[in-house]
Amino acid sequence: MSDKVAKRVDRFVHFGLAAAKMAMDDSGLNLESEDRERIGVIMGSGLGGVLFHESQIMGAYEKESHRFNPLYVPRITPNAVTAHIAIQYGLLGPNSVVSTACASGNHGIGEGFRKIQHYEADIILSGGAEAPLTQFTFGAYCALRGVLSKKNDPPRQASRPFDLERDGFVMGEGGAVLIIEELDRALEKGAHIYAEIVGYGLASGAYHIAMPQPTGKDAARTMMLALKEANLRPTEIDYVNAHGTGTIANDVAETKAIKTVFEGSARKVPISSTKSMIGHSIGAAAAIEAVVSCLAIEHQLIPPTINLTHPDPECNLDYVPNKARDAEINCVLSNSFGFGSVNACFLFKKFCLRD
Amino acid sequence: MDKKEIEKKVVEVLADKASMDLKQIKPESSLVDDLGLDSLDAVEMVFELEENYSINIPDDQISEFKTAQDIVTYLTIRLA
Repeated sequence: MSDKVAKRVDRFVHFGLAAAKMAMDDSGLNLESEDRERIGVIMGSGLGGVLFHESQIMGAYEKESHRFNPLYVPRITPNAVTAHIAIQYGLLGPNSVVSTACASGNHGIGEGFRKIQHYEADIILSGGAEAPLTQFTFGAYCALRGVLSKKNDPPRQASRPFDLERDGFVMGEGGAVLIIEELDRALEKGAHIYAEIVGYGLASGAYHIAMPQPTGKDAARTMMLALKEANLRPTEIDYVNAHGTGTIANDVAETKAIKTVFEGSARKVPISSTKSMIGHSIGAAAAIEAVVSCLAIEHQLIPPTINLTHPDPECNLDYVPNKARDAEINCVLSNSFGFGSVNACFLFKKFCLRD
Repeated sequence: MDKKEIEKKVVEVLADKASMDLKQIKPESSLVDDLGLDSLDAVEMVFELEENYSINIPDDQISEFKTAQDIVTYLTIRLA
């Protein structure tokens, strides 16, 4: 991005633009030979430009000024990220941002997936971007109590999903972009296919604005929706990339949900929370985990849940503790559950040419 | 206020908005053609000058600024 753009946007847009560039470079997509009106950008962001928002409020407070920066609105609007990606690459197709808290990343990819399925676009750049490491946002999450970990000593052991001593998540930041394309087109041009999206489940628990449904029944139902679309049985899933925030409530509810879906095979399926290693980047988290899921397929390697040293009796499944594991991975289920009881689950499958 | 100081400030703000070196900003530089500033850059630049000098610059005035010199001349009179 140019210096001028860099100065003009919030940090969450930096993450989105950087991720888009990495995805575009990796894909080798030649925009000159594509119809740009058929290429869109759909991302998730839970908070939008909160860093800029906060800096302006603090600046006004400190200077006792009532004046607003003229670029306030275009900087904080959540769709600044998709707009800037579209402007950067001249992408004229569908363009939107979905905001469903911690499910935003999956939801963004899901909307992109449906656009391809419904022939509204040929290619969608989809994912999530978030920059929540600001004083106000951090303080606001602290105020919820029980959401953020208080383990500061040592900090690298603070994020411990499914561990008995977990006490909340560690906030992260970042962005991730996947390039989704209709299969025949991708095959025709010989694109590198990391994975095939075979199922997507989106549902609400209509339960609580900030708590997961304790039995995990809505999370289970959402996973089943993804399985149903993919026409897969739970026993065909080789790895579950859990939402696994490390809050007391999430990890128990998610474990119950996995047990509901997988029944007798629940103890056999490897599950891990990559948030144990990279934290929870709110609206970007699920998009980053979608990338992790596709790379697990690519490398046939399951990333671990680190800091899992004291297993919680209520979380008694295989969370791939502390060490990555080589495995044959064909199908990955990636879970994300957001505040407001919003659940979005994906099924990614290793791509094999069919007869 | 000293004209040299005003010139220095205007060059500084314009260089920042245009992402250029200070040396590239000349009195005759056209804001649009030479510095590539759009309308949002212009309002941002005016905002910063207003903040710096604790003045209000009317909306109508912004479109009158065609070159760096126009801004310096305006400010020199306003701050005299």
